[in-house]
Amino acid sequence: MTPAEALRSALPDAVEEATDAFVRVKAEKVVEAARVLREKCGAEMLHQISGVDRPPDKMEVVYHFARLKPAAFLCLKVSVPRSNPVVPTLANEWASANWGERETWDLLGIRFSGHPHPYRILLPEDWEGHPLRKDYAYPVEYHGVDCVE
Amino acid sequence: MTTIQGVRLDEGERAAPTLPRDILTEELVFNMGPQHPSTHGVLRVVLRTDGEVVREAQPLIGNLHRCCEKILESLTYVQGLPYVDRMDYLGALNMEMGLVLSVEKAAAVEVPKRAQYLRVILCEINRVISHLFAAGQFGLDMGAFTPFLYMFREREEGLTLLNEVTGGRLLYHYIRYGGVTRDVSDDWKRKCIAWCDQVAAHMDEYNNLLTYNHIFLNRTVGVAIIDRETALRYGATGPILRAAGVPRDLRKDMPYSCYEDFDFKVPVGPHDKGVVGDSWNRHRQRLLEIEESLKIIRQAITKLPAGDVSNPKVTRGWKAPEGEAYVASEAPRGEISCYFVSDGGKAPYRARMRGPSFYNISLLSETSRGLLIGDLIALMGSIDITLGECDR
Repeated sequence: MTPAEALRSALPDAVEEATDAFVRVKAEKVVEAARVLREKCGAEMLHQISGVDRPPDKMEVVYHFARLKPAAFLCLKVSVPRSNPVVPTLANEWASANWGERETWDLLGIRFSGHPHPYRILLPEDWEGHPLRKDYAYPVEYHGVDCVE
Repeated sequence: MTTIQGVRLDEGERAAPTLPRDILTEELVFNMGPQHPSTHGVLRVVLRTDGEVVREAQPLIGNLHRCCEKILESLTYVQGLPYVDRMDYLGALNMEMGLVLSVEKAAAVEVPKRAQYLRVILCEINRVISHLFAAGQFGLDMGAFTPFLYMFREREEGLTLLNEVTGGRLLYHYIRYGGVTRDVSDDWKRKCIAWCDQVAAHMDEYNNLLTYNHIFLNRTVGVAIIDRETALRYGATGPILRAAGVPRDLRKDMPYSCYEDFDFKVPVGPHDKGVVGDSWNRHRQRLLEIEESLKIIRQAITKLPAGDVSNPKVTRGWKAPEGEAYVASEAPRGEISCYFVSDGGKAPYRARMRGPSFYNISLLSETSRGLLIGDLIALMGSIDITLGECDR
């Protein structure tokens, strides 16, 4: 069963857009959608979580699940408003989501509600801003060290 | 509750390990790394120990973070490529593959067959070198100094081979969009086959010195088991996943760059000693993979088709058209992939790189609970991390 068919039949209200390449679901339904992918489409591994900034008003979280046999990647997308980017966490079901979501919070500033450990992971704790946002302003100095181009 | 950089160390209480003795001493919280030789780079692990027993080990990463993804977004396509080499500096060619394959798929760039074969040859040499390094380093961690030097002998000659073709010893910038930079000579092909023979001839020596060494077996067999379920849950890939008994190798399962043309096996744990997913199996897995890589190199050199090595349509100011792609490939440490999004501009709109070590090391805190400190070193050594690619 393709991800689009599985999600359309299991969660008809949640699917916003479905193509061969990806399925876009409502942000609040992402946990249920991921469960459907695991149970109906054999997505055994959460391979990667990517955040994409889409100014002026949207941000995207893109989940790539891996199916082992036959090997394939299943892509799930979620759009959130840029003013308040919050997505429910998958970390309670997929351990790989834990660090993946922390990184997405760290670099893009997308919050994952219910995350067991919502801290920055790559940047220092006191870093300001989220570098992968398209309107990110480079810092002028950090702890007394000049940061000039 | 102890807190260091947001790490709540008391989280481990929910799964208190069975201690191998009945005397409990005062708990001690201390840092292992970031300058510790066994952490293979700048990994900082906060340990909470009870005597020699690890109650909690929290890896704190980010010391080598350069925001590679931001760099890729702010440079043109051609300028950005050398930066991905710096992710996994021990498997740099495989890192280049990770980015290039996604971009080529999104932009539908054709790659000449000869270039695809050359990519395979060079990437497999790089994998052999990286696995030799990993196995040697693991021996070093376990207190065996000699095998490390023996493995470095072959590694050094492999580096010379790569140097001759690419012009670099560690960081190559060899694979470009639509092909590779330089062709190889017949003389180089002969040297390469000779090197394959040399490595193959020394495999028994490595196994006698290290793999089946009694002390090494005692240190690694049954130690720090990562089972199938844990590996899949944490997104661990590569030798760790295969040593845990999952026959997943993207070169077989989702062939890229003409891997379907070659005849090779995918070794899967459990191997002849130990239990599935233990430290010894992960080490053995790498050595078996070296043998398969050598087979691929030999076949690719014999079958190397004639023709161009690059696509003339990809010029200095080349831009990918609007589109996106997600392609994964098999790097020495696991699956490197890139979620590439283009808006048709001069630079990638988004190039999200998946560092295999990032996910591999994330299982450390769960797996290390209840291990002895010495066994934690076995776990970290057998996971084989490169912090450059973990922190990106």
